[in-house]
Amino acid sequence: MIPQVMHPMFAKPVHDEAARQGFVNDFRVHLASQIFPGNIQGYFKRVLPAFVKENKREPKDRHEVRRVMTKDPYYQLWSAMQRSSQEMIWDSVIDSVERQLPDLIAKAAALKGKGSLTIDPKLEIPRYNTAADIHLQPGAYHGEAGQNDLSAGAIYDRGTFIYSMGALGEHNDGLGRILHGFFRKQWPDRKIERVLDMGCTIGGSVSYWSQKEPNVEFHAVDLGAACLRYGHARAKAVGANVHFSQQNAEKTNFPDASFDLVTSHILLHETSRPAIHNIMKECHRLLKPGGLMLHLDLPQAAGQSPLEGFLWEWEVYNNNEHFYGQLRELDVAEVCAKAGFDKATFKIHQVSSTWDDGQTPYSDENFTFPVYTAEK
Amino acid sequence: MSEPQIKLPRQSKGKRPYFFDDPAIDQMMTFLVELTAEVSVVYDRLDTVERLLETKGTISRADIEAYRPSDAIESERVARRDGYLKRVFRMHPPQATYGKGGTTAKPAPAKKKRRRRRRQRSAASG
Repeated sequence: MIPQVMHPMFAKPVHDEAARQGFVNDFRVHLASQIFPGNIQGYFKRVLPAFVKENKREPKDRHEVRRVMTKDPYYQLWSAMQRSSQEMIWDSVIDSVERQLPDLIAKAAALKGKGSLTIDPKLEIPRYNTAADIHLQPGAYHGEAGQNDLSAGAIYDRGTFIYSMGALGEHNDGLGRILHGFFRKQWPDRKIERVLDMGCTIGGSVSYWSQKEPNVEFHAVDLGAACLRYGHARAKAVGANVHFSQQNAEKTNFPDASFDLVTSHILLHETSRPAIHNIMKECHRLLKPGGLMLHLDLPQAAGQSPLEGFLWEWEVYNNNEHFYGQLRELDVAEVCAKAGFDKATFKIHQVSSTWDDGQTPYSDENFTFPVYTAEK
Repeated sequence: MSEPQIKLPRQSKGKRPYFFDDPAIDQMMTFLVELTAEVSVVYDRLDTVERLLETKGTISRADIEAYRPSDAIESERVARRDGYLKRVFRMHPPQATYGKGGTTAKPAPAKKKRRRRRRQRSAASG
């Protein structure tokens, strides 16, 4: 695996923990590069001909593909291994975090740095976060294992690095790099003074923004206290200046017209249909007139073949990414219009997954993220 | 290793999908993959011991725990794991159809077999 930069808050693994994490990473690389393509070969060689023989036509959508592919022995084998690898990510990382948790909590308290942290113990966690643990992270992003707990954040920092097989770079902040790079390419001269990042988890992205725009006041909200505690400590450790607060992005306590820019990095697909409407309304309320919002998320279904659509939804069914299935077909322009944004300002940009000097951490250099933008 | 002061949850909430008709096969796949991981961990540990012994006469457990592979050595380990994974998870080539359990490749034509046996017999008697 490519080495991850171990900032002072990082839960450093001992020998065998590192070996186990390294294996899970390399196993996932092997699954993606060596085993996964066999699904596509098997579909055309075996599953599709059988379907055509029986129905005298090809499958019309991904749902029809699902009905036959989930019966295919090769697909079943790959899926079983893929699912196990996802469970192994967390188990291998929790070992390191659990072992040194009291030290990490003490370290976070002792770290000097900028920004602030506001926890709201009374915040109600919505059902779309409590119904199932997203990405199978045990205890979820909002879980708390005791006073001043930051384990969910420490687990997330290492776990998402292994999940993405290092695709988010050695600092695990690639989504921030991609969105900030896109923003400054698209709006090089735009003046921003106050920025809000919604659903920041451990603030990897917003901390990068803060490092790039040191004169801007950054705020970041998330549902998870343990992620925010870790995020604040991590931000201090990397020299970022971010004000973290535990709030629901659907309804925050900031006054109207507080921000020049509102961002999110793969937040939307972890919410729900009512929540995405509320979030867009909240963005509209929080933006100053002329303010801009940028939401980076995962690809939608439009333009994908029935097979591609089926394969893209593996995580929806098997990795607790429940709302992603709906977001893939949602008319986000309509959601934003209902929230008060002028439809003429709404745009979906397909943004390349490269950053900085053209680094391409993704094996598929044509891979793009949709970024939803609108102005108030 | 001593017990951690704070125990963290290990099970994720949400229904686990089962991919095979028999859930025991899903369970067996988990056993298999976990076992493969453990062999890899032992291999890394052995590699660490070998590398340390190349530079020192005797080593302690603390030396092993403190050992951090350099980027070059980690690259060697990644290459080794790659070969290891290819060997352990050697997939059969894609098939147009899968036979049911108990089926085997077509047997050789019966006539030829008989003739060969006859020839063997005659060779033995001669």
